[in-house]
Amino acid sequence: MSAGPGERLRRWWPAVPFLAVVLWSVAETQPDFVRLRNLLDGLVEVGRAAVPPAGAEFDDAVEGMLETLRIAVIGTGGAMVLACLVAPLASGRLAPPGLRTAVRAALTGIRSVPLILIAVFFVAASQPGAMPGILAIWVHSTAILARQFAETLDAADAAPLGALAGSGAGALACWRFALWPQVGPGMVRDSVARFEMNLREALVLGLVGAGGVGARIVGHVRSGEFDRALAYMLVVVAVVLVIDAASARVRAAMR
Amino acid sequence: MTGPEIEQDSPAPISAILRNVRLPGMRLPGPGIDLVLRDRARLAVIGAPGAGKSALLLLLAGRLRGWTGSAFILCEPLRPDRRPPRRLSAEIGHAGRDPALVPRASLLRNVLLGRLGRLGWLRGALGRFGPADLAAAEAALAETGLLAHAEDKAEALPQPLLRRAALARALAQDPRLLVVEEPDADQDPLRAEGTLRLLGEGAARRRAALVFSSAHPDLALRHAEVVLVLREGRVIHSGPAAETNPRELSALLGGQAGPRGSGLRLVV
Repeated sequence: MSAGPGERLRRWWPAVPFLAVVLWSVAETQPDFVRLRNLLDGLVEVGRAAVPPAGAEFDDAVEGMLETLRIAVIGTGGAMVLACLVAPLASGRLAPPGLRTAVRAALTGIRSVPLILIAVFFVAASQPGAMPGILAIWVHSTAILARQFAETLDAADAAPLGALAGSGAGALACWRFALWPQVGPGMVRDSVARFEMNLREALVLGLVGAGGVGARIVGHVRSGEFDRALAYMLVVVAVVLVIDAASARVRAAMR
Repeated sequence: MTGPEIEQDSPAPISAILRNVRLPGMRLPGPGIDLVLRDRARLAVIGAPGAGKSALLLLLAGRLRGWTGSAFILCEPLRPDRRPPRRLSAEIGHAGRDPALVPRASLLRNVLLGRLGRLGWLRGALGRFGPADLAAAEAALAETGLLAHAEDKAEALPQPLLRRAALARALAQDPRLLVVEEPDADQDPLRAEGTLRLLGEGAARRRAALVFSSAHPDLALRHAEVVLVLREGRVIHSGPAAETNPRELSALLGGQAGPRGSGLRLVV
């Protein structure tokens, strides 16, 4: 097991270019320690200004958070429905190879565009508000969920379906009793996880004018009302924590 | 090369008729498979692996495509290019080598699903099973000795139990034709004997014809009324089991096992 110096060199040589890149990045950025100090001081100042949070803002914060929640719910819900329709077309088992390849390429294309960029386009195409945010989440999540659903469908065992169909069961009954028990929990799990992510993304969407609580937080920060911003952020953190816990429970139940 | 015409002049109704049937992938010269299966008959299909037993059984269960010839099951014509009508499918119980159970569902639920063909499509889709369906499922579980596992999920049980559950699902259909692929595979002779007896009784109780393939020719002879020996998709012997000599049978089977003395013989 003892490694000679030559052996050690062979094992560690990939670290050399990596270190070089790190050193180069640091040197080019020219870290300014005085500025770093200033930043820290500034943060302390912001913190002092933010505490205590402005209690008067909680009502508005809750309302904004509810709007963000609605954006995530409608966007994800729409994506679930659409993804159910698209997934068979992207499935390796159900779709003809040409169609499958085309659909998968399109889905990959949409997924590779960051959600916030899609939202920017939609806001530009219409006007700021919840609608472009919902549409952006809808489109983006459909691409992701359709791919996941397709993989779930492909992983299902077709034998039980064939057995029930062969004994005279109708198509609907076959889907419900032989397919759904195999794919349903996975699809629900993926959807809930996607909703959780969309909720956090929807907060950021406010930055580009796509509605929700994010826009309000940014507004208050820019105008130096840090105590108000903190009130908003507390509400956001509380809701996100609750949703995360609930989603973890749902996913555990679907195992 | 005796034909199965022996049963043709029987006054009893007929469960299945095959005429000049060729199984897919076995396009050989000469005549195809002819078979007349009397109502409530018990037929054992015997042959080496690859002889076409599975394909023939799938055909009789209405689940094979791409064959040629003509076939009537329970007085209805089968078509090689499409699924039989639901009404007919509901009358045919099939248990293949793959149990094909729904993994996340309990055995009771799985067996109950065999009743879907008896429900209308809407009632089936809604899962509105009636008391008669539940009774049939429980009876089938009891016959196969699975009542103790009724609430266990299929994914948690070993393969032999799952195969029995698949058999229970086919029995729960109350079929008029019961087709079972190698019910005695991977079993020692004692257990295989029990399985075949259970199968014969289950079919008799439902007044169903029974077709099964077997890995144990001597056992099959004892539990079937008629035997059909296949080789390369053709019938090389058929007749009443009582008149078939086990030695002749093993000679027929041994003849296709390659050059004599080339392989080991397992003596149980």
